[in-house]
Amino acid sequence: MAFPSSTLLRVLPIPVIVALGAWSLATIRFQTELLPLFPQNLPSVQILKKAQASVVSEHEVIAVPAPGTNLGWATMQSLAEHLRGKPGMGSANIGMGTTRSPSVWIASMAGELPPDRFALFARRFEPSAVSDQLHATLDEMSGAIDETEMGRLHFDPLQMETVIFPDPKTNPMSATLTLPPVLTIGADRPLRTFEDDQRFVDQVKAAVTSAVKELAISPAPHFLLTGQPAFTADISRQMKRDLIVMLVFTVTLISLAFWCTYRSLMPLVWILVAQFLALLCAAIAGRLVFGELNVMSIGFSSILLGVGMDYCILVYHFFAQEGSILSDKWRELRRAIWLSSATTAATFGILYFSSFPGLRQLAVLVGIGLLATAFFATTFLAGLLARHRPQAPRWLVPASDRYARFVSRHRLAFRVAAVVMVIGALVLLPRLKDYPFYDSSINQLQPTQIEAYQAQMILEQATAQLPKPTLAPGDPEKNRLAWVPVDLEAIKGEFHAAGFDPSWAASTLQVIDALNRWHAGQLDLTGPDQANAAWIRLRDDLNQTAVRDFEHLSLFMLATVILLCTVAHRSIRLVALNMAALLLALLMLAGLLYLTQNSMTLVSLLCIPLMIGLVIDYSLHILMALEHEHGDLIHAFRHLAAPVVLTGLASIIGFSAPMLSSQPALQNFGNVMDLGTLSAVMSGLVLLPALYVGLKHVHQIDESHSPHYSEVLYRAPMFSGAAWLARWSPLGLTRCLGGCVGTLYALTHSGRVAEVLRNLRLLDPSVTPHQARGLYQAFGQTMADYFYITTRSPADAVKIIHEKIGYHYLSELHAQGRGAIIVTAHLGLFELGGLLMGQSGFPAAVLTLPEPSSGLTTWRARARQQWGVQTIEVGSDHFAFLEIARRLREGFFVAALIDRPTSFAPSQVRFPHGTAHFSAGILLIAQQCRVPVVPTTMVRQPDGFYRAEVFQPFEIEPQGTREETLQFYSQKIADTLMPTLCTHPEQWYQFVPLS
Amino acid sequence: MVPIRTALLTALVILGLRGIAVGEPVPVSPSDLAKCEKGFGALQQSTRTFSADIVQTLFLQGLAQPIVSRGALFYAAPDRLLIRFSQPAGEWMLVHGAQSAVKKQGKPLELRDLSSSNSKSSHAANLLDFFRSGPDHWHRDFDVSMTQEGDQVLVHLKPWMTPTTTFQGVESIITTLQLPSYELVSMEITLSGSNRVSYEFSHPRRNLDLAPSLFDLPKDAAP
Repeated sequence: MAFPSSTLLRVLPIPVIVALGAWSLATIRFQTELLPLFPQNLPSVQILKKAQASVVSEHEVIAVPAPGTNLGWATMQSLAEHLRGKPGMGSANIGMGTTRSPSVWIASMAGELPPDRFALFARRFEPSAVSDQLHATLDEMSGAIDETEMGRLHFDPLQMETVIFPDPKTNPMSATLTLPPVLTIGADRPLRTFEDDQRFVDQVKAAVTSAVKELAISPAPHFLLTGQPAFTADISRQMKRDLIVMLVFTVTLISLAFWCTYRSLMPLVWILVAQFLALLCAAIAGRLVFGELNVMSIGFSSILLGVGMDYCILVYHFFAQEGSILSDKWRELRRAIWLSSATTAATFGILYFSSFPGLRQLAVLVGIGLLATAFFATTFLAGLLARHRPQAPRWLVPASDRYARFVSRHRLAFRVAAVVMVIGALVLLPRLKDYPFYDSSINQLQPTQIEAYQAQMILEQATAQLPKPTLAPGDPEKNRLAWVPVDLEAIKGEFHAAGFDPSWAASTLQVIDALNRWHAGQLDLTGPDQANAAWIRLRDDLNQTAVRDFEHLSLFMLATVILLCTVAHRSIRLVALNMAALLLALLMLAGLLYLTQNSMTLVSLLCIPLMIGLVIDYSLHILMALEHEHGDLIHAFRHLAAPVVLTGLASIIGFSAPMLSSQPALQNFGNVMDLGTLSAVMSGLVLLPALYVGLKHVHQIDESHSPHYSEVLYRAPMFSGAAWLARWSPLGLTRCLGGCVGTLYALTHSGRVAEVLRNLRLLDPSVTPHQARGLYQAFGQTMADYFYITTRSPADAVKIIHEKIGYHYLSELHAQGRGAIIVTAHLGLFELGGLLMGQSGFPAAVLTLPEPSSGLTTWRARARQQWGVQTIEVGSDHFAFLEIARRLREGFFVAALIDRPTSFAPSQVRFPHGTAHFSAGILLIAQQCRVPVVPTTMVRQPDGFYRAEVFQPFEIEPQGTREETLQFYSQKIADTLMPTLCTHPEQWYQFVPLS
Repeated sequence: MVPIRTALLTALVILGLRGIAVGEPVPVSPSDLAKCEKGFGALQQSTRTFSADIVQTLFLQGLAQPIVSRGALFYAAPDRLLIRFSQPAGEWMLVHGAQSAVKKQGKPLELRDLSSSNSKSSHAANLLDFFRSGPDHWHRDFDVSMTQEGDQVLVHLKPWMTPTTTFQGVESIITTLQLPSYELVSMEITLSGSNRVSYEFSHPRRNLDLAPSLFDLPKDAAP
């Protein structure tokens, strides 16, 4: 067997991966900026980068009063004064309510002036002009007090703006001073890492809170922080939070889904370890190749967990099957896993050649992660599972078989559905063409949830109302060359000489410094209008690039997929089926997007390669299995149906996790990917098998192999749950619930109802399907009664019987010390007879066939034991008959159901409208043990209480041959029970076909 | 040799007399405070008009020298106030009902509608508020204390609330009243930090007939 039984091979890489992975996660940076995600060669991106560098300070935040807070300039001034000197605060000034550094903004406005005005502007900074202007400013502040004007003069004592905006009406500066004031707070040291940014933001928040307290401002105002450090701090914090939340959510729900399906704990732990190792491999790759993680890539862990779970579950399911493991089957599965992981990794790998740096990172992370998952699943996990074979739940195989039969029976309908889907898409194309399946807006990429963005929006909404500055066209480059650097110290001296302290000179010096640096080529003063225009152009640039990428790369993807499928199948027919499954999945995705009124965005375009990977993954496995099983869908699905459903569920969970993220782009991605996964599962599990030519017909189902009970409900845990409910609920409520469950079962199992209908028509041919369904309702109520009597004291439970007829027969037999065979049918609540005999002091035992699980046998036996009734299991063990005989000799009443055909001594009996088979073997025992046979019934009356009827006992006397004797007395019993059966057909719970 | 106790007592008396002699502020007792409020309140109540010459001194943080302006102040109950400057000439501040106007030399007229809830209060409107309100208003919005310096009483008003909820940007107001007439001598308004403006009143005149047109906005003034 080709298992990696070598411990060394399995264990050696693990500590290395763990160590490297821990180092990678500890040292990886978070890339919080948006622009680096986009193609860097786009002109709009380059303009925006320069604009960002020039107008947005990396070392300042802006504290914006929250909506509803009304703080005056003087209060803000006081706050600024209190902030200076606090830990981390390098500077604190009142700002003009915009995100741009006002001084750099003025410098950029000046740089765009016509040359003559720019020369006039430059002359303002000659020493004599500075002195004159400062004295003029002092004169202006005398006389009538205008607070707005004073604020403006404090900011611009040299009145530079009067040169830039000669017409006061077009000067936005004055208008900005009517904006609610903000605080511009600078750090006292350079902020180099995002930890620096986080620390600084926390310091600012603490300092502002402290300053508010010191000033006793009441009610305490709330401030929102914005600016580059605030964005970085908020986004990186959110990214970390999102990463952890998504991981925890995905791991929890996937584990829960696995546990609910397989009920295995250790294998789940091993699977999670394998997945964790794969995640670490991806993190190592990210760290070594890129050194950082961007906002798009933080979702990779959830994606990997969801998609990678597929391989682990396939491996688990393989080892959980009964019987020994065949090497060739293992090799085939391993090959399929590797091929599908390679296909999916390849489709992601192609994204590496995308123009978007952001997508390249995700491609590498997911691609490496998937290959690593396949490796660990087929080595580490397989080795462990081979040594410690798990056991799949019993219900899985029957459920899978049933599903396979369902698909097979309705294959024609599914084929028609597939054709209709394709034709429908073609017909509706003209209409669907107008639907925005792809939303080209990039607004979703904005981090709308974070405080920094919200604060920025407040500022932008306020400044949107300002008059737009209109400048005559200038020549920035000419101005830059014409600028003569101004000595800042000289300007400081002039201010001092005029009686102005440094706070009055600060803004002016910043303007001059910006112009000096601009002249030296160290600063690019992109005007705000250029940045705005660039932002608008960015959308079109990005979309053009995305569409171009998509067109080019999708061809490569398709070629890769076809190549890999050909390598896997070596058959054009099967490759064509793979492509058909892919086409149908894409059509279903389009349909779901249309129905849910969703659109894909720039980020969720990723779902296309992901979907391709998933569809090919499922279809590869299913087609390979079908080929191996020669078209036997039942056997093919036994190994695949449950894993594919569970992995589909795991993928949906994994992709739902990004919807918890604070990034709207990731939320949309998760949403679209869930729809895509659903389409992939439907296509792979429903449509593809129907399209497989050569699928064996399974219409001819051997019904005898199909259990007659509900495999979901007829289980010990369900019995325990129902008993708990019955214990704490009144009987009326549980009967109602039981009736509802029965009715629901009947509505969803028409085949079973048909069998019951055939049985009932042996009594009365006019019985309708509605009446047959009514039997299930009555059965649900009877089960409620059963759980009632098992959860009450026997003395209380037996009170449910109000009428006893012929009970003296049993008393007489007991008085004689004679045992007897009590026979009844699956009529009413026959178990209640055991309780009644126990309460009457009659030694009693019940014969039962083996239940579907030993747990259930034990459960029912314990219930009888509390009534003093013993259970004798009759199966293939012939010694059970000895046990029965011993009990009869001891005077026990041994109860048995007679209306169930068995292979041992079946006897045909006449019914009013047909014949049926009874189990007459018990009559043989009665004959040999010379004990009487006593027919009984226990049926519920219309008043809700039970009527126990004991018929006259009879001895088995020979009536010819053994068969004739058995047939005679079987008929006698049938004739005895028939009136009750005909009176209460709805309580004849005979679910096995009798005729 | 003078006993130590006697020497100390003597020194204390001398210092105390010196303090009184040079007019250092002495807190006013609650009964005198009430008496003063009553007296000033009665004066305010009876005032229909008020006019005085003023010297406005503006102390701004960061400026080595204060900025001094001269002019005249006119008040007519209940809602009109005009400050007309002679130095610098041609500038004035006016409040007329719900309208406020400021005229600076070489600048357009700045009009403000004080009835709008979004409108910030103007400096002139704050002064008007003082003239038409009395001690009752003081206690409603301010923590009131008084000190006496010779024949003048200084009324210290400190807002209960922070400057956000009282009229804009006022940290404290110190009004100097002449005893026994309670006439206004000066007013010092601290805006924030070390920014403050003071008014010194001279030749105060109450209840003279002032032409209503004195408080009219210029005919060409647009809202």
